[in-house]
Amino acid sequence: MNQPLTTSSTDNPLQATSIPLLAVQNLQKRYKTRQGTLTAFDGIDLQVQTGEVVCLLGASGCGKSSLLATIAGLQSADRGEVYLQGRSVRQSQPQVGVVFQDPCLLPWLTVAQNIAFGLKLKHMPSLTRPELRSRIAAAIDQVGLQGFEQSYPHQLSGGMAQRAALARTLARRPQLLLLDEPFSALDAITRLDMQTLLLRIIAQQQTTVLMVTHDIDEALLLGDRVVLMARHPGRIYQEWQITQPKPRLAHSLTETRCAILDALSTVMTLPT
Amino acid sequence: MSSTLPSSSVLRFKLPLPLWGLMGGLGLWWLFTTPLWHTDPIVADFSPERTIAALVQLFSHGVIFPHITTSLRRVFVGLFAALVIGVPLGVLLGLSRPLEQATSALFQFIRMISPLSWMPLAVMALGIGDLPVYFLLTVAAIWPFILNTSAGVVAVNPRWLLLSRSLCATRWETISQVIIPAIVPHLLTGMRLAIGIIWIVLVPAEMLGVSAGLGYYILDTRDRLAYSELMAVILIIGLIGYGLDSVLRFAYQRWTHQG
Repeated sequence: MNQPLTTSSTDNPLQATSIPLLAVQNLQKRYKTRQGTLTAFDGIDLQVQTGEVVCLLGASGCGKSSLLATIAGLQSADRGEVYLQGRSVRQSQPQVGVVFQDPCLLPWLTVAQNIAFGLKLKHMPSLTRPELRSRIAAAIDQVGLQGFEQSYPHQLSGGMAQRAALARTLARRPQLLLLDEPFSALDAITRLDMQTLLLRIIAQQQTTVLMVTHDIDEALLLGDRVVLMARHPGRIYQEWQITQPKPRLAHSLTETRCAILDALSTVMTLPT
Repeated sequence: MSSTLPSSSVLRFKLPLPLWGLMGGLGLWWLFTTPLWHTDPIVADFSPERTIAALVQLFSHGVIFPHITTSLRRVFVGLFAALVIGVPLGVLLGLSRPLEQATSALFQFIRMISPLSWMPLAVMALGIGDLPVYFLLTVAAIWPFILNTSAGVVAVNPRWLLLSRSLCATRWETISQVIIPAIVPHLLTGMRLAIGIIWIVLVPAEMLGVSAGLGYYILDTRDRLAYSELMAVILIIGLIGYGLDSVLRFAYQRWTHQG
């Protein structure tokens, strides 16, 4: 099935020539179910340049979370390759940070200890005590959780817990941030808050981000590029380059928004 | 004109509910044994009045202390041995489904044998003294550890394991820093059950070939026909058992941040 693949002509020529931080080639994942094999996604080709924020947009069940998990090395692909700075990878990598939809904080550890947990593992460069402490403090500062270092996860609200999870990932100074619908479990106001926070962090650190979302506004607010996925099997349908400088106002992107909505409704009615 | 006297509901002494049960038990005990209307001197010896007098005497003369410490030492040695053997075994069983399936029939079979049945064997193999008691207590307490630990490992939140993988933790780091802390509530439950069983098995285990301990002392009081002392020792056994259980219950609540 041939799908239109449109990209705006504002590609940065510098980005096109350098080795992409992340490159995904012809990736496929299948699950065995009782009804037979189910193809989660197939023929995925995707490149993310250093400093770029790419939003993978799609309806539920289009395999976008599964794709992210495969890129993160949390599950193996059945075909295709994932390259990190040109190097083929099949397992989770220390320079890749993942934030899940639920914060996944370890309930017996405080916020500070949860952050330290990610820093003290063997695959991470070993830090001295003061270094460790300053890394934790910096991460807590970044997400605005000052004063909650010694709190336990059950004492935090949903938004605060997700901030702590973000801090745990940021403290490891990942080159690539993979976000799997990180704010979708939060209420609208908290979500907006977290999006602003993420925007600030991205701007500060020039982080490269690949983010899965089903929220068009979130994608438009954060993404430099929005990639729409179709389902059954999950595949890339169309992508848009968003060139407007951040922070953006939602209403200023009405045209793109309408285009995405149009494409999305087409995608939903496609025969499978 | 309103009354300045406090209302009757303020004056009424409020007893916590658990105390009501204890009071009820004490009342029944007293009813069936009190020398006030029981003329049989043996029955009267079992009465709360005489038991409490004997209890005070046991403590004031310090006769009972070496027996308590001996028994507690045995409990902790047995508990420790069961923990050291049972928890790693439980973790292994929880991690490996084939191993769990291979051993489940064997373990269920052995578990159903009363630990006390091993007593003659234990004495034959380990001689007389503390060793066979340690052995019996360990055999009794190991099952709650194995079963609760493996159930705990199986029940570990898969999201935490996924997180651990996404952070590139090694297998050992995942076991020591995610799985072990995650199963602590299960472990504490296992320990509570283990202490309950150990405390029950201890008394009969101490009735064989040892010369100290609460079980030994029960037989000793029987032989001396000191029935009020016997009842006093029974009370002590109950109290210590309750105390041990309360400590673990408290630890459980602290760990899981409940209550």
